[in-house]
Amino acid sequence: MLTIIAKLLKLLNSNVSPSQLALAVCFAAALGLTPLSSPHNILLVFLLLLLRINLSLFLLSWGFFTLIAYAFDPVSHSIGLALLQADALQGLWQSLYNNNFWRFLGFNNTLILGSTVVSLILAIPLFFISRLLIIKYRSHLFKWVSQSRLGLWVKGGKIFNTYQAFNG
Amino acid sequence: MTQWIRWWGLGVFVALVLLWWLCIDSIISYSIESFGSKAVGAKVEVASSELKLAPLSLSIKGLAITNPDRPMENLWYSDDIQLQLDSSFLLRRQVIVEQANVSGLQFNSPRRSSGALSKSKAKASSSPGLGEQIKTGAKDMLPDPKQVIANEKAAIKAKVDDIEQRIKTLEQQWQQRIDELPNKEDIAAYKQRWKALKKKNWLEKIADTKALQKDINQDIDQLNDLEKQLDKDKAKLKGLIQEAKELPEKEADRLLAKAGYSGGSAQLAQSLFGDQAKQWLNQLTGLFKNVASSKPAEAVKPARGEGQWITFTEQQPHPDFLIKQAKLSGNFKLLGDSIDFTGHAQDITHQAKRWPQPTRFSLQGNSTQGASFNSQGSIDLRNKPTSEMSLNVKQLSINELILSASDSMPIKLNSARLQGDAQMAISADNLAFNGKGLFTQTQFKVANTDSNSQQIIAGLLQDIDSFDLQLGLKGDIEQPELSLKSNLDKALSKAFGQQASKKMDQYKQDLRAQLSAELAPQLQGLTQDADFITAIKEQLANKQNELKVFSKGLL
Repeated sequence: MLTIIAKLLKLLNSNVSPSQLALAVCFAAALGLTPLSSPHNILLVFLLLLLRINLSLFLLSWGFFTLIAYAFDPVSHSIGLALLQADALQGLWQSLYNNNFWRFLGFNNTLILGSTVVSLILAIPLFFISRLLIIKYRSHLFKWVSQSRLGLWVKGGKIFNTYQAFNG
Repeated sequence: MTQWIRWWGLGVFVALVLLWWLCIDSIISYSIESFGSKAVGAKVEVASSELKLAPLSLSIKGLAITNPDRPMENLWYSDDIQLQLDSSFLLRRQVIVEQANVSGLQFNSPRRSSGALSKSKAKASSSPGLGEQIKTGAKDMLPDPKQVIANEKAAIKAKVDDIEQRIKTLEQQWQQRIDELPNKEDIAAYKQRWKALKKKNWLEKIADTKALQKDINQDIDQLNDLEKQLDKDKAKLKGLIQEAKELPEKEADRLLAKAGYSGGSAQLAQSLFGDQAKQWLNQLTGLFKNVASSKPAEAVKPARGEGQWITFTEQQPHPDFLIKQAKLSGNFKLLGDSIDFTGHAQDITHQAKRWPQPTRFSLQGNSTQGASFNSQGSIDLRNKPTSEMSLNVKQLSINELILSASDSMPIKLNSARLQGDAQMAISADNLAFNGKGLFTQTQFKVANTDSNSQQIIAGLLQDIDSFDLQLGLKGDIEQPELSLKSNLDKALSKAFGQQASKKMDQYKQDLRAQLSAELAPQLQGLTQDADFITAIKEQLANKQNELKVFSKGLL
């Protein structure tokens, strides 16, 4: 647990752009909340590797959102089921169902659809909130945390040194 | 913009895709094994698989599907399966195979190691059937009559209760009729009317007397009708009491029939070979039965993390898995003969309701010994599940066929030729199988024993060079009732039946005595219940007399 906090503090204290960090949280939410084998995750992984999204924060957040997803699965399933059974949307689903691309994406799976919708709804506010929090943290809490016992322990710790050495 | 691009990430992604492609064959093998094992309930193994993109095809080598009921046997084994896949449907997560070529196919082939998924609990050893007991000749192996009755107590009690209820219903009906008959008040009213009309003038007197006479006659007629009905009901009651008295005898017969012995030596062949015959039939029809039996889909709550797939109307409706055409070739063992076969199958799917055609198959084969084999069938699990299969064999060479696997009296058909045909039909949960066969050039092998009865059988079978056999299975698909008839019965009855019958008769006597003792109190009660008819008869006679006497006084 301490290791994770140490890693998180290191990332927040680094010079990495707040947008890159916020985007990592958003990607982690999308990948963590939806079933891993969903085809749209191929695109997400591609973008994650191609774009300069912070991988460390992504991995940390991904673990967190995967845990959340386990608890959130029944809700996602219910949302997906309600959407797929909604009378007003039957025409849309009907046409998508007869299209190879959408069938490949598995839109007609309650969990895939429900969790994708949830992660899409969360993504934009999550990006701005994360970005804002990182900026606020750096301007207001950074000095206090750096001088706190935890901050000093992190700086003096083996993990921090290893991490610094790894990052040059 | 370029500050947002991580070029080495692109490289990693390409490397991941390459790695996936390199491992795809293993992924496919693993998927078939894991999903197949889960679906079958026993090990499904694949030696190797290969996916080709242009044209899209999949090759599966060494596919072995374990028989879940017999883990040391493969329900299906094929050397090579070549599948031509439709790529557009594959994108839709539907595996549509335009053409499948299956070669080196074997049914019911032995396995080197067990294909059970986990250590299944050993089946509780059931008490030996009566056929087995006749074979072993061990009287003490017969189940204790007390135990048999205890196990069947509820069924026997229900029968007695039914008779008791029918007697009580009769009694209630008669009580109601008696209550509706003219009582003392009615007769007093008649007397009152008679007194009153005496005071009237003669014209009124004649008219009222006639009216009174008519009413009384109606009552007498009603009583006469009831007397006739009473005679009928008395006979009915007698029948019910007789039925109750015969209950121990009939129940003894029923319990013996349930245990596999129905009617003495006439079904000796079934007693001797029945167990083994069930195994032949399982071997012969097992795969078809497994595939053709339609179990209603249970509503399954989606597993956590998997969700539920919702279907919509398709422009081109297709099931998730379909083999449109399949060519089959292979070899299987049938009653000891090795048959090389070829054939074809069409429209194979596990979602029959999503495809307009039933599955059809046709197999033809020959053996090196000169036998021929033909089988056709269809499996229709669409709206009203009906599946049929017919097979025909000619000059099938039978070798080392076990007729009785009993340790005490193993009987083998060393060699014979079989000509026969069979039909099998499955609808919903019911199964019907009928097979007729003629065995010629038979040579039996019976182990030498000290037992007198077994020596008689051994001697008898040595002299038989042909016999017929009719096998039938009927009833619930999980536990169909076996019927086995053979002209061996007559010969066996003469030689052995008497001895077996004595043993069974003694057992039946014991069972009947136990049943009589068990049922005695209830049956005694029934006889007492039936005594009401005497009281009713007395009541009717009294009322008749009373009315007749009064009626005579009017004249």
